[in-house]
Amino acid sequence: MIIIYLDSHCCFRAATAAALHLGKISINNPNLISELLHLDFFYSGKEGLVPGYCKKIGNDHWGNEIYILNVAGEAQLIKRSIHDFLRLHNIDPKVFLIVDSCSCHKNKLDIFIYILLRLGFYELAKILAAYYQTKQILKIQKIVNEVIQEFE
Amino acid sequence: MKVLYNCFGGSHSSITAAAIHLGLLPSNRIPSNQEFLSVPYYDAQIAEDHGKIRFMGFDEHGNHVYITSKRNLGRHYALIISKIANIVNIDINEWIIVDTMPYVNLLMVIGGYTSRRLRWINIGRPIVIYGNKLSYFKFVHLVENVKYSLRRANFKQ
Repeated sequence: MIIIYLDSHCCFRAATAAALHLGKISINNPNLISELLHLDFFYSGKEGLVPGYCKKIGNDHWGNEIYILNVAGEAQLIKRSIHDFLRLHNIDPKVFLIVDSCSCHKNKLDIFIYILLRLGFYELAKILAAYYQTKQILKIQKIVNEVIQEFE
Repeated sequence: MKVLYNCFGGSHSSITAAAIHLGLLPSNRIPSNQEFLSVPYYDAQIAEDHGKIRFMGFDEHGNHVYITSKRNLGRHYALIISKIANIVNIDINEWIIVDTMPYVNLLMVIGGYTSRRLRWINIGRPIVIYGNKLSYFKFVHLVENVKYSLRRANFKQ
């Protein structure tokens, strides 16, 4: 199965979710910010700002391929398109598990991070995003747990 | 080959282009209001339909013609679809993904928003149809370019 975590600008949330899924980070780690910043896929640079940015993160214990994809917040629309696109090619849409990680939380900090990225303050945005993910880590873990339950 | 016309809401410009492509609307004159409204899905899609890929028909050369909506994704929609195609090893060169938004005028935007988003159909629909008529031959020109690309692609095969 192919699991895609959808997100918007730079995919910080999706990257965090993918890291939790693959066991690369732990929510109990007191140095979670540092752990996130050390992930090579946590920050995708300018390339990640563009909708359509897609990166394979790895394979989980069950052999599922984990991807992150920037869809500029249009997760439901892309889900429908992917399902129809696969059906047109006689591929069972159940091959894909598409997870919307951008709806889990949005607030002004999210917009502020986006503005920082647009203005070119990448390092500051990255640190702020890592801090922000630690505050929302339980919600992201919940999304990941729902995904993992499909296989347990 | 497969052609996918896409626009913001999948209700007006993409439908018009697909209808011209399939001969449901004429390419040598501006259609009447009734002719626009007789096209399937014209001014009909709602938010829950956004993203769905609708089959419109086969053209004279057997190419599949589809429409969809992509809201604010713009040209990135085609990129997202191509990434998905790469993941599952689908040949994206079979597809021509056409963004009809550059040919949409302000009246179509206002009329489309009024009709589809606000559901004030009696107000929005005449405005969007009028706007559609103003840009009609731009869509005809777009479809001619798409058909030329299809002929070239089929010839290479």
